[in-house]
Amino acid sequence: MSLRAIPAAAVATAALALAACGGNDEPRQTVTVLAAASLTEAFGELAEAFEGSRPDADVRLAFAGSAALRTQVLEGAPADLFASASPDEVAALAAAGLVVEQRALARNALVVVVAEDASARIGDFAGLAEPGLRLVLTAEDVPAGRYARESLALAGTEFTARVLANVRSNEANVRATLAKVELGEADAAIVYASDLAAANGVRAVTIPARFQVAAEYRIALLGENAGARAFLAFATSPEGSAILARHGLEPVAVAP
Amino acid sequence: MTALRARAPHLGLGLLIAVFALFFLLPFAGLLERGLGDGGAWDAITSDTALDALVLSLWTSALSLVIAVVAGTPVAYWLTHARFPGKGAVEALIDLPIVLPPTIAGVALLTAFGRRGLLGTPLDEWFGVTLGFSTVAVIMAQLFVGAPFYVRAARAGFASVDGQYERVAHTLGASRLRAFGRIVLPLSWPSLAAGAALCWARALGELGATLIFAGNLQGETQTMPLAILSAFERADGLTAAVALAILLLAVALVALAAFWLLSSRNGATP
Amino acid sequence: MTLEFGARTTLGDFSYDARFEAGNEIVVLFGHSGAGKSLTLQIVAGLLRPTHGRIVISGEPVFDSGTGLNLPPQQRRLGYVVQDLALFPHMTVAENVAFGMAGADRDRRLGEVLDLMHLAPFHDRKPRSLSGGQQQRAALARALARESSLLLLDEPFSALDESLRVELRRELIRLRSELDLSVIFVTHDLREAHLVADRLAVFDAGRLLQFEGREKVFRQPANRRVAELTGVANILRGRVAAAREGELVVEAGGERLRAPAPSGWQPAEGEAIDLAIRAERVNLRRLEADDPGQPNLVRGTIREELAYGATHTLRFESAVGQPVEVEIAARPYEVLGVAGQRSWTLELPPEDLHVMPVSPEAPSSAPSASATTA
Repeated sequence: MSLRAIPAAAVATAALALAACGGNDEPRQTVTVLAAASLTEAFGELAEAFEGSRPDADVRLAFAGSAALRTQVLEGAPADLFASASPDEVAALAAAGLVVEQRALARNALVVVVAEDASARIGDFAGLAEPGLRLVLTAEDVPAGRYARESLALAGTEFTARVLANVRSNEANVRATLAKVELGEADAAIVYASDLAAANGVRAVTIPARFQVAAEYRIALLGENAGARAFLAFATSPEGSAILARHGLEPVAVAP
Repeated sequence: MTALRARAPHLGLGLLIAVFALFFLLPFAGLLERGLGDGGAWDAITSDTALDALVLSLWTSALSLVIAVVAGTPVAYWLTHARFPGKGAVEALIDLPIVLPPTIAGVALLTAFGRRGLLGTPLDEWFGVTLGFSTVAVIMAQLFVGAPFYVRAARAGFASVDGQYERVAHTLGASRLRAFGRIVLPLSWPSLAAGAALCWARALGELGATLIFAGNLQGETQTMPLAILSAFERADGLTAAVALAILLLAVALVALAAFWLLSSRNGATP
Repeated sequence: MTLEFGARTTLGDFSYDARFEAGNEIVVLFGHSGAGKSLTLQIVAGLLRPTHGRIVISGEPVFDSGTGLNLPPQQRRLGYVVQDLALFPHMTVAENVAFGMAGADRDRRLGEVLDLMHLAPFHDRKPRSLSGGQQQRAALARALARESSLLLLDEPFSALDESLRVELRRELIRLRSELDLSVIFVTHDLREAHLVADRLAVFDAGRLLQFEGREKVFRQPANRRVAELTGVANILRGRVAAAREGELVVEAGGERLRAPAPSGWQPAEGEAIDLAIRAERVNLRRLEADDPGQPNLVRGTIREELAYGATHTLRFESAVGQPVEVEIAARPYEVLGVAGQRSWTLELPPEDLHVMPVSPEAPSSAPSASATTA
């Protein structure tokens, strides 16, 4: 069983507290990165590789729902980089004048996950509308939840209404959503394709291409900082892209 | 000279008190400043989400309190008087949820009552009953984190009543129940009231365990703390969260004030 | 009203064994703290369950280890005043007193009890605001309100000052005759025990050593331990020189003393015995008034002298080879001129001498012997 999403929130709080106490002029260069929960494993490896190549760098990671991270940055949380699961969150920060530079990072497909031992007979996307299914979505205000609802909307309003009637919980981030299915509390959920890499005890049901909504990850530089700039470059470099690809994301070609 | 010397520590102490007081008062001031200074706050407070969450929070926390009192009072009384090996361990176990982070409480509840939990599995397989994502789960989470506060306070209250009173009551013809009702209860009332208030406050504020064990669905499991957390993640972010927080704060204050008023009027003055 | 009591139990390494009965009288349970007096009351009241025994109140068994009967305290009709009174602090005096009352004309009877105990003016007061004596009355009233004729009082006056105790003891004696009560009264105060007791039960280390009429216990203690506990200052070791009809000749030191033969047992010639005589029973005589025809005269010299105002206590080195303590009132002390004279003849009147067996175990192993004497 894994409940990565829960410690993630605690880590975020702790990291912010630490960041608030520390300065940037220390001999070791500290880069604070706030990233969407779905990037937990990918950015973990990315940070490790980055630190391997630059021994003087120290990357601190905090994961949570993109929306929560956005609010925290707007409220003055000291962070150098923000990797969001949607362009909307970055746009909100840009509108507030907090973004120095932003780049497309990767794309992510949506997938339906079903508990392996679920009694539910769901075999395809249409099965989500089956009455009695215990479905969990990510909250509407979090990118993963927004994309999931957009995807449902592509299949028609009547279908959407039937699926939403099955929703038992709106989780705060996509990893919490996945965890509910992994634990068997829920029968099914809509999560990112990249989440499958870290999932246990679930099987995937693909969403037909015509109902797919591709999530677009963006990464934003929040302040002029050499270490942060270097991490940004690394994340969008071929090496960084390879790491992201390993975790089920589709890296976007380097473009300013 | 001596007067000056005597004053110095007072100055330091005064400063310390002021800083400490500010630390606790400023967050409330911040809430009010944000909430009253923003036009959107009223809309957030009167939204369906907020009202559903408030109603759910109030009745679930009240029910949790009732269960805690009805079940916790006999347990606390028995624990106060019983002598048996391993009593310390039992007491520690009952106190455990007090020091346990609520998120752990949530995970623990899942492992017991979740669909794949110890009791959850047979419940699901034999009776088709699942507790997760239900209002029952909300109440269970609240009970789990809140009831130990009541039991603890009740135990302290019962222990503070000299056993001699009960014994004398018995020799005066009082049954155990009558001695409890007429002697023990009135004498331990302040402790019981304080414990009940703590238990209710804890149930009302319960977030972590509910989030993990009960999920987050408006009208079903989304209590005020969950609604505040959800609002925090919305595009309009903080405004709604602040508004809901102020609402919850106001309700809690009114309820606690009413409670204390009631208990001080009915309370024993030994 | 009668109480038949017999119980045996062990609490940790304390073992308890006692048996007695009481009628319409004041029975004082006397002994040091920890002797088992309060324990007796708790067992009677049903607050403590002995392992063996049988308790019968007014013909109705309330505890019987043979049949497994054990009525809970609330079903035993008795009034019990505990040492610290335990007045319910959240109730008024009237509520306290009425707590154990039931039945139709409760208010009238409550009024009667409050009047009887002079508590009417304090009807609505909380116990905390009462004086020590008033609290004591309230606790007594609460126990009396049970309208049981058996009253258990555990050191009821110990927290009060002397003048109040005198008054309350008098009141207790009045109540007993007015209400026809049986009272079991626990105290460790010798004077109090003597004052209120009709019969006296002497407890020591969980054992009932002697249970008899007050005077009998004071004058004829069953053994050395009872003598010590009841304040007998002189316990002289001796040997039976001759045993005659109703009388013994005891040799102590070089002296021969005559003493009445004890009832219940017959010491053999040559057997070691203890002779008890209270300090106030020893008479002083001038040396020149020596009368060879008189028995039990011994020479003694004052070694220590304590003046208590009303009385003087003199410690003699005596011809019996053991110190002898004499208590003499202030007036004869002056008339005799004790202050100016060290050497005296001590008269130990035979009727005041009491012969006891040497082994302290001997009599206490047969408590039934003392219990059946009424």
